[in-house]
Amino acid sequence: MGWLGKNYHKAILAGIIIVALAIRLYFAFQTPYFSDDSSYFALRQIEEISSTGTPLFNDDLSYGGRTYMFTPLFHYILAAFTLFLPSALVGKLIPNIFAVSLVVISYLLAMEISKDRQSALVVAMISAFIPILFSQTVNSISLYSLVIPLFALSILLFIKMHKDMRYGYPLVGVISALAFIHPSALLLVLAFSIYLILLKLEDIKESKAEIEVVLFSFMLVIWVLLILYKNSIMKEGLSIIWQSIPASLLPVYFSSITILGAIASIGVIPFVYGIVTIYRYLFRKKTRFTYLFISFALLIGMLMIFNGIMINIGLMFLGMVLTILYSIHYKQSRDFLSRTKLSRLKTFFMITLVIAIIASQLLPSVYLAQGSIKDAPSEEKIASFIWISQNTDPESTVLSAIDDGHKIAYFAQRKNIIDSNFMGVNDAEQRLSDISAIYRSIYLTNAIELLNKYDIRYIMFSDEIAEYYGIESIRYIEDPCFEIIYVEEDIRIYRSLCRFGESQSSL
Amino acid sequence: MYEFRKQIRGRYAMLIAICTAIVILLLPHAIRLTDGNDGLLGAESYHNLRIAELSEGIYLTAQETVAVSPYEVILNPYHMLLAAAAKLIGITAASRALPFILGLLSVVLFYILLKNLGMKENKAFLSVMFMISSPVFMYIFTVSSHFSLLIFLNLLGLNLFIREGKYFYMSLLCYLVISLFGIFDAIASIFVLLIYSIYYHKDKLRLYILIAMLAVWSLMHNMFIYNEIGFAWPTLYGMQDFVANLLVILGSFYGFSIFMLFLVGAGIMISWDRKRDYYPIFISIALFLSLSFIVGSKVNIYLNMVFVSFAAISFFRLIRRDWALDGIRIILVYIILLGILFSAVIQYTNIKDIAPDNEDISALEWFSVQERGIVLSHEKNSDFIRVIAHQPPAIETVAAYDDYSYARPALGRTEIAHDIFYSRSLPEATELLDSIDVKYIYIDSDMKDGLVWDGQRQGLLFLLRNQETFKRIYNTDGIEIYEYIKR
Repeated sequence: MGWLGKNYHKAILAGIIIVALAIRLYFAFQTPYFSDDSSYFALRQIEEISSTGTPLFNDDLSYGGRTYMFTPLFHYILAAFTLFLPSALVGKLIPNIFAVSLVVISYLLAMEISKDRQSALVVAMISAFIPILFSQTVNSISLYSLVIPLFALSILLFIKMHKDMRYGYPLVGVISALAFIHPSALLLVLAFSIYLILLKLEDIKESKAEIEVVLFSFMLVIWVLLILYKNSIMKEGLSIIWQSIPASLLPVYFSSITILGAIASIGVIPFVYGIVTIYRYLFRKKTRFTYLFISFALLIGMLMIFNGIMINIGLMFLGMVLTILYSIHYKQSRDFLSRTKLSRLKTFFMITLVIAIIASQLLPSVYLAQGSIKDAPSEEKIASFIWISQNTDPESTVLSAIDDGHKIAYFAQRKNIIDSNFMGVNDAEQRLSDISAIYRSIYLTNAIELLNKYDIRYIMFSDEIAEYYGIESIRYIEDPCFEIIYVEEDIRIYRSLCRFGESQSSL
Repeated sequence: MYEFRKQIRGRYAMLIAICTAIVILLLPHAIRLTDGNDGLLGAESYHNLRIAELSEGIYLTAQETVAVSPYEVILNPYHMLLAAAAKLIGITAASRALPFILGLLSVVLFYILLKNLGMKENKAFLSVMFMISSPVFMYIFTVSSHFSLLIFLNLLGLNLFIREGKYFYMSLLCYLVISLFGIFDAIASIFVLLIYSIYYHKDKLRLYILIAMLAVWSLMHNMFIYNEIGFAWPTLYGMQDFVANLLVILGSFYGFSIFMLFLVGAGIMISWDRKRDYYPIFISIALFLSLSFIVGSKVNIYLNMVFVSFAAISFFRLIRRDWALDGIRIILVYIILLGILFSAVIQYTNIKDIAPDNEDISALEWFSVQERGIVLSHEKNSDFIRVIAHQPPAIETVAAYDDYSYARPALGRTEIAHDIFYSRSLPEATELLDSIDVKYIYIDSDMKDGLVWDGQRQGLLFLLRNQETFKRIYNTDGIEIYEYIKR
């Protein structure tokens, strides 16, 4: 059994879970607000579901009125918790619990492929603190807090299905749920398909159940995505892969990644040794289930290279896969060491490893989490939104930066010009350009024309907006056409008073 | 499933297929007529209508005078047949009836062909049903398209060729007529015959005679055409266009269902162990897909028949296979069938809502009694402006349904038109308008809703407020027509 007894390792696992959850919640509750704007979209959906039973598909506030296209299962799951918890608390607590579940699943997965408890515990420890995953999910209502553990669970069930075909049915259930949570379910079936191809190339016989599950999953996911996104696909074609993000913002969302950046995001240990394991098993050894992870890694890697997936999302998936692959390398290294004279120093190596994990995984995770918390809006900013909700006409439209879009809808309960949900929006690029023109323009008439175009009544300005647009102030704002109605710290809200008359038609 | 198989055997199979085809082909027309829209379906219908109107006898060319300058149009056998049918029932009725009749006949011929090639009855029936519900079939036999006659002739020709005796001469006639459609269609037909010859080794001498005559005849015909209108190398399609042309969900009228493609892929995988038996079909699929980079979505009308047959074979293999997880087998079958049906519904929606609508027809008919002048609009409206409004369009584009559209004199002006559409400078816009001699500007709601502009005062829309230069002469139901007043 080794130096770890059966119950002792369970206790360590529980300890890892508790520590990971505690650290997450410590950061999450440092601020009452969420770090990214799209969390407020999720919050609105959760509150809508808990009050009406259905998601908010037709929204009068976003873009001044639009129809959303998204899969709402994640929001339904969170809304179920609002039966006994407030929605804001659900948003802070439940995604972190989902994210920590990856620790258990990674442990079970590592056990399946390495057959070694110690390796599995090390992987569990690393998976608790994958820096990019930690920072992206610690203070956000992020779908990926659930998607990534479900991905890992699917892989686990797929492997278990090989020994006991009955696992095929819960696997199909998990994949079906994933299809209704996020379109990235397609990545899962694509990776499974690549796995089958790799098996074929390596003359390893695939099992019937594997083929059937992949076949079924592929069809089901395609069918669900076609039904749910049919209108978007027909309108926007292949650009739906890039979520209809305007061209000017694509470099922001799909920026290229450096090796150092990838290492910092995933952690040096899983990155380096995960890649080494891929190399070893792709070109030399033939082990069935390692190919499964290799398929994932190859697929995500290719998508990242060809801008088929956002960098931070790709790194989260890659981090999960490489972490689990590390268990193979760890077991082999430890077995190798135990056969040498250095076996006397195994405790020393273990302690060194734990310190290395703390230095390369935990500390970067904490550092990035601190950065994420700093991204949360300030009390003053939220107060300004709440002031708007209490002191302005409910039908009015508020201009602010794109990162405030969902917050305007949630806190101010007013219409925004733009937010980060671009799918189904025809003129996002034009809106971005117009907003930039409004803030940067030196001509009053130009600005008023654009303000009238979107029926903007209120303009928000702050140091953050000034920095984003590279301006010190709005040049024409002293004109009598604008009245300052709110000042708090660096935040100002102006009311637009002037409108152009409509020109008469010739007939 | 066993009871189902029993029932479709025999004569009921054909009856069910024909009834289904009747419903599918008539439904878009019926829905449009119920909505009060008696316009034909799509620009392609009007394009063919116009050429049929110009047709006199069996001449291969005619002159189009409703254009910026007169040019030669090339007739194909469909135009001649449409013109002949128009003498009996009128051009509009013929444009609806001819593809419908050809569609029903194609269904029957396809079924007979599959049976003659040795396919079992249930697979042949499923192939035919897949064909009827395929987006390609729905489109080419609903819209007045020359592909309807092309498919019919291919099926008829092959059926006649398979039979022995005097039927050979009738099949020869079919293929000679096919060669009048264009060089690609002649090559495709030769290819189909070659694949047939690989599997069925009899009649090789007659086959070679047929291919030789087809090649010579096609060469002569095309040399005549190119002598009349010149030759242009086709523009290559990119990967994004290739994918868009392949899938109906991405808007291609000649696209396939993803689920159909999946069944085809599964069929290829299942047959891969016996690739020596199937290699001609695999090669033909690969070749046609490669050709789509040159000729676009046109290859799909040939691929469709191969795909539906493969899909039927793989469907039966899937359901008869011994499944490890039997519980998901039935669900998978339903998902595939519903998916194919879903794609048919998408295509039906595309066809039913295809331009022109009532508002377009009213505007264009009003326009037809105005003084003649060159009309600037989006290139998608060119055929409507010519045929319904009887006005020459200022710009034209290469059309997928017209191999010889490169000869249109207004081709290549798309960039000038786009410069005009996005100009906010009156002097610049008027100079460009003068350069292409525009008298009218036709703007429909699609152009204002994202096709050209997505803002109220964008580009030319802003300049059109100048009433001294642009006089609005029509403004109804989102359609505006302006007269450009030259200084």
